Amino acid sequence: MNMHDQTYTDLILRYLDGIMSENEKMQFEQMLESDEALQNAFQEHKRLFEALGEKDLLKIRAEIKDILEDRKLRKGSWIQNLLWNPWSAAALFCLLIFAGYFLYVNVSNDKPGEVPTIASDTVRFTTPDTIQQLFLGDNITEDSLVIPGSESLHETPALALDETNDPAFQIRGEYLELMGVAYRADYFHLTSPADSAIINMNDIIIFSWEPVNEAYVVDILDGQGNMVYSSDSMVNTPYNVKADFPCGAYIIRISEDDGPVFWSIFMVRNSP
Amino acid sequence: MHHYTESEIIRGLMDMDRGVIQYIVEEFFPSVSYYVINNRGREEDAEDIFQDAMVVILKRLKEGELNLHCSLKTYVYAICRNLWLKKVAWMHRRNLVHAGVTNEYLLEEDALNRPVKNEEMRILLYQRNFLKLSELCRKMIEFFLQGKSFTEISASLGIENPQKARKRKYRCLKRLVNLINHDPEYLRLIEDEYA
Repeated sequence: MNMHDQTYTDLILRYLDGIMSENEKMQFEQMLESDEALQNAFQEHKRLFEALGEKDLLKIRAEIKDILEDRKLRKGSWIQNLLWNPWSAAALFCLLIFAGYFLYVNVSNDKPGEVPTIASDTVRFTTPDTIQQLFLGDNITEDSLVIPGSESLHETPALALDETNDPAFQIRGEYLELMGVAYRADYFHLTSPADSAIINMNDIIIFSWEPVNEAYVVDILDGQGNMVYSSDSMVNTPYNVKADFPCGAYIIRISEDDGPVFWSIFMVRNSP
Repeated sequence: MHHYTESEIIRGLMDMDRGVIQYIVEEFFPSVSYYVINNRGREEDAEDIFQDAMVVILKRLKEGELNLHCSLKTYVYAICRNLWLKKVAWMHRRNLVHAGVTNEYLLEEDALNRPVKNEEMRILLYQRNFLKLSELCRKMIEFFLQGKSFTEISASLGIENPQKARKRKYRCLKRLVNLINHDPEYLRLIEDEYA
């Protein structure tokens, strides 16, 4: 059961806002008496407003967040202090030299074609077909690489390393982090004739979303964050874009007045 | 750092005393962080869970429902553990069943006298989604809940006119409702309640 049914939300907000005509208001109140789903939704809105009205509860969250941030900064300054002390800085320097040598000896002997297994700030695809949603506990194939966020509870795409090291398929880590917070993933959809996030070059990509009466700006960025396409203004759903971009990985950014609300990725490959 | 007794902590929490809250974070958070990180979470997850737990505790405190049968530190830890396991179970139910974590989760429900109730989870979810809104939207909703007129709201927030403020507030509330509606944890909560 969906407590926040969109139709009800509109009605309830209009009712609470006092912008209904007398007739509409009467109809709403009659409906409220007889419609159980509306009663539930109305109750849910009331709970929401009550919860947000509890200022202390919001305040304690903000206070703790603030203190935790301070704590992190203090941890950072502890390292700074360490670096300013000449003896500890010298000790740290020696340690780094030793660690560097150790890594050089142990890691630099990769066989040709062997791929690294640790993500830094870029992640690459092995083949477009390896893209998938990853859930906690899923098996990860040997050649795949999971971005750090996916080790926790955040659902993020599992991306495999690129065998060819093609920079066009690299996506900057900061964008991948954003994918991890694409909390409205089931609210926006991307479809294409291939019916996946892997688009054949020159196919039409269809962006759609709910509710259908909302308009958004649709932007497409390359893996490094350079804009390659923009609808420029608010557009309605469904919105079509021709994938006449070079092969590579792309970022979709959907925004409203206050900024982006959804991030996702797709890849363009040569038509098979 | 000054050491506080349990009763001083509780009083300080009720009064939102920054020094006491700081003490709570310094004393209680490290064990929570250790637990979450060792159970497939990240530092950020631990921070979120800790904030949630403190909201639950303050709410119980204000409503006279905080019956301590153990130290406050143990209580905070237990609430955090409970919240984390609940989150894990909700988000990845299918995987946890295979991993046998569900049993641990159920045991935890028994072990803690007062597991986090759905009503409390609801407040946490509402708050978390509210904080995802832009600052302007948050202010708009706060003013609306304080019963301010749209003339006052538009003047305070520098919006051209009351009509625009009303429209804007409507969009903000709708966005909040949409966020909540699409929050996977909220959907699980609803599922649980109507199962």
